[in-house]
Amino acid sequence: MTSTIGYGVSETLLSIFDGLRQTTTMADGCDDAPRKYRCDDIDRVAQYICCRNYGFLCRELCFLSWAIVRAYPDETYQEPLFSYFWLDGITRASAFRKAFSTPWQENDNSVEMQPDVLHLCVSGTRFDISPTRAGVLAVMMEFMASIAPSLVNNMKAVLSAPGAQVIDTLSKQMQKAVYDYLKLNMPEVQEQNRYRYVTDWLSQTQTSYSTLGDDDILRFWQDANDDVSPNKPSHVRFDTAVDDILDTLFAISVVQAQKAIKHGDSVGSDSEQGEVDLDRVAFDDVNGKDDTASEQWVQSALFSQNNETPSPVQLTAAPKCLTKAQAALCEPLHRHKTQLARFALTLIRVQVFGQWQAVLSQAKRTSAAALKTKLASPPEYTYPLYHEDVKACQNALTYSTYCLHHVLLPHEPKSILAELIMKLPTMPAELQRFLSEQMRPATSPEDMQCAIAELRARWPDFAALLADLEKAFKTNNKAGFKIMPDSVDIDPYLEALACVNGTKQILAAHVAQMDNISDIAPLDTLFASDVSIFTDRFNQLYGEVHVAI
Amino acid sequence: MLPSNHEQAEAIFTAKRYYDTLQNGMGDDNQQTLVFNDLVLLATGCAGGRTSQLMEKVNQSLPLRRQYMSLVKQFAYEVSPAQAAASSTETLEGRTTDKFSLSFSRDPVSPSQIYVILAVHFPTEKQMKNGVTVHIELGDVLQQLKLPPLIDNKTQGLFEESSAALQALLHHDASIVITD
Repeated sequence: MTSTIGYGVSETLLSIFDGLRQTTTMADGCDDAPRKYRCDDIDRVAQYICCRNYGFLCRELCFLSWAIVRAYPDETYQEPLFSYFWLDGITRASAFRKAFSTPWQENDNSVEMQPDVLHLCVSGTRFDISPTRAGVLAVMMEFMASIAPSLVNNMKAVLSAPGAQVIDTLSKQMQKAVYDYLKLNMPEVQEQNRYRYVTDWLSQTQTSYSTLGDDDILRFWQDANDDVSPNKPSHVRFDTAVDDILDTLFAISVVQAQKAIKHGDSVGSDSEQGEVDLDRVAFDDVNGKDDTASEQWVQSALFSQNNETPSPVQLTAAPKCLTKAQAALCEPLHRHKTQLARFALTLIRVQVFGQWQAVLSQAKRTSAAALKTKLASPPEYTYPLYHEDVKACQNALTYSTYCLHHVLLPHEPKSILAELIMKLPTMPAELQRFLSEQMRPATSPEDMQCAIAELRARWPDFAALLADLEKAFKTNNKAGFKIMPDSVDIDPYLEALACVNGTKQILAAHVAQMDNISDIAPLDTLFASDVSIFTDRFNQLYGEVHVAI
Repeated sequence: MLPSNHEQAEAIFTAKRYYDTLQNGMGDDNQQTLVFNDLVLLATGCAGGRTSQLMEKVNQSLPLRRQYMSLVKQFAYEVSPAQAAASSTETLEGRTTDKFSLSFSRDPVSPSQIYVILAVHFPTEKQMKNGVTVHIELGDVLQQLKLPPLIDNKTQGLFEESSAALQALLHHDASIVITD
């Protein structure tokens, strides 16, 4: 189990998010029942929570609950909130639209599903909720039910009272509940201590963060372990040192970019020229108070500007595209993808020596003798072996793409066809004309199947590719690929495809970087020199002294 | 050397760290964590294969127990509280309320097994389609029995006499709740 000591997030909070990820739908309770919440929605709520930017979300949830209590009648149990969130489990936009398809009105209160949004009017106060928020709000409700069950139980009674005031009151109660919970489960002090330690080291060693390189990170790890001051954060593990230093660099770069934007010319004032609205990037000093450290700013700086690809870990569930070991290999690359090019060698070191360090600390727990034997021999896992593993991962992903394309082609013909055509040599002109004529009037996936069939008959390259896809799917016996899924169950496959494509790009970039490195010095030479550095340090950390005890 | 806006960079660093930790989770798939959704599944008898595993967790924690019981009562079709006095020593005595009656009969072929026969007088649609769940609270322990869909307002199940759930059901002090 990953230790959270020194990270600040409590095990209870972690277990709630683990629980959310494992939650299944009402349908049945078997092991591979479909997951109730989408990974993206859970991650989004995690973003709100860790940036402490949950005020608006609470308010939105209160408005939604107000609408549910009134416009979503529950004949059986008289518990509309339970029906909406748990018995009917509404987490998708389409279900959301259906749930509120009947408008409701009473005096100056109304709930109405408009083409784009759910429009509420609460005693004159207007509020809109987009159906695409259904998933995020459902996850938040589940989170609230876990941290403050009594609040959720009383919600119906509280919200039944007239007036818009009830929503404000309830939303304040909710925010207080989250605030109190986070105070116990997500302390701030320790984290900032780590950050300060890295920046202090940078200034002490006169290292500039813009020129900092792979060797500096190695030096930081060694210096941090030589440092014996009592209150310093622990950097025994090489992974921890790398994480800390890369996260610090990221934080500094965001702040610098923000400063540059603030003092730049005409930014945002000319939106017709495609300039970014300043308010989205930074908040001006309204009322003389510097608002740039606000929760909302932190969240937008961290997440809005980044195109997040989902974590490769989710590819190990059905539809299964990667083994757990392969996903674990991709995970650090995904986490540090912004620094992929600059610190390629550091990432290789983390992957190879981080693993060896884990083996050593495990051996230390077992027995002194086990540790001694492990330390005596160099690690079996080397840079060239790692290179091969990454290549194998790439192949597994390419294979999974084939299978996913095969599964999705009947349901999402337009986008999949586009991806397939990109793989092939240029399409004959007459076929291009034919395809565009066929595609324009086609409205449903079924309409397009004939066009695809004809394309297959007339274009041998395309037919060969489709045959390859089919062959790949037939030989795939992993979870999720045994039979073709129904059209209602394809959401996970679409998510998986997006994730596979994102991960493939990351791996391709990483392999290119590795090749660049090995052009300068062969990987095994590098490995040999690194082994001596790491062995020396590991001997200090785990070696003789400790073994003797 | 240090960025002037130290506070912002610190805030970003902290938030990013938390997010990474939350995304990675505990990394232990076998450790199923119970969320409210699971309690609702359990209370409405939809938990399927995970019923016994979830029930065990609920029985281990007082707050979960309280939440579960309040949910069961919310979804209840009928409640039969603990019987006031144990008037008889006869173990195979049934229970009757306005809305249901519960009776037991020993299997003539293998006497260690007992039929639980439940008659519901005003059945709901779900009870006829999905079956009936019987929740039993005896002392500190909660139990659950799942019976097949009603036919002619009746349903029955065969249980080992030694099973804990059946023993609880037979007990006078048990409070019984019937849901869909």
